[in-house]
Amino acid sequence: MNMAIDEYLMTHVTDTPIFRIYGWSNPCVSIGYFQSIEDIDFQKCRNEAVDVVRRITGGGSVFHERELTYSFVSRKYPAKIIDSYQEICQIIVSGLNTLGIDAKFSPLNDITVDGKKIGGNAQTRKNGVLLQHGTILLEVNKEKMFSLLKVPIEKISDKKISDAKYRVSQVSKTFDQVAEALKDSLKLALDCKTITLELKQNELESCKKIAKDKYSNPDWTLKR
Amino acid sequence: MVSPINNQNNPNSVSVKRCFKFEKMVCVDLVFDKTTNTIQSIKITGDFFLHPEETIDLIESGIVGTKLEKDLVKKKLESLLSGCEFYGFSIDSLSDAIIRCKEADYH
Repeated sequence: MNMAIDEYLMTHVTDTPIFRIYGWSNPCVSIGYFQSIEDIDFQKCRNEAVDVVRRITGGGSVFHERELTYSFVSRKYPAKIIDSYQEICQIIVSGLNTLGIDAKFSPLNDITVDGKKIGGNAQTRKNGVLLQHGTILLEVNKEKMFSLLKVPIEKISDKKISDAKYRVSQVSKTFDQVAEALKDSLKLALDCKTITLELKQNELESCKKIAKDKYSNPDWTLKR
Repeated sequence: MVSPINNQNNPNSVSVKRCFKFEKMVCVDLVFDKTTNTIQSIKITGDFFLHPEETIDLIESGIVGTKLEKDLVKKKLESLLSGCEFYGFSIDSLSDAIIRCKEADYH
């Protein structure tokens, strides 16, 4: 449902950007648009009742459990990919900094603390609208995470770290603490006020339809 | 990862899958005809970014039939990726990856 809501927002955003903050009712692995389903242990996900969803954004596979997830949807954004990640991730970094977390933007799409990844981001752009969604790990079960995600040896060899688990960390703050910090940071960065919105019933129905027709459909999930 | 497999249906077909670490991971699953040296099918997967995303389908279908020569593959990719934004690979590195899949078969 989360991916369906993000897609719905992308097709209905006005000139006012939307910043959505959310969590997951059930553990889930999301895989990037271009990834092979073989990049994750699909069978193990099923055995452990972990949902699997393919995103409309590129990037790598993510295990969503105890984290804060956000999406930023806007018609105004820098054309260059690196500049748009920089601009949006800086809002996240600044928010985390106010909580005393020494977060940094690590191009292209990571947020790190002491060189360890605490969050990732992925974008798509369609019909003049940018969607960036990202995560902040609040508490990470590395054993579970790396039993579900397959990290290719080619990906870690150049970093001279044999254990990918070493490169992941968490912020150890509550969901609400991080959510408030991000909202404050957003207001400051965009010099705006924020309005809290909830999806209306008809909008929720549209999202449910997208979720059913696309994100729950094996043709989409297993397409690559 | 290198995994050359002879295709049972066409004795001249060879399947090779290799992954490459560029700015992002790019895996190429290539089926080519050994005698004509042409691409029969290709699947390009990984954690890279490409806008619009649907371009990947056009690349995978549009490159079929191209001779496995670096300049020809590169020229084809230049045309298929024209106007797209991408991050994680370059046209040169992707062309190189495709050609290196073919070479893997002969190792």
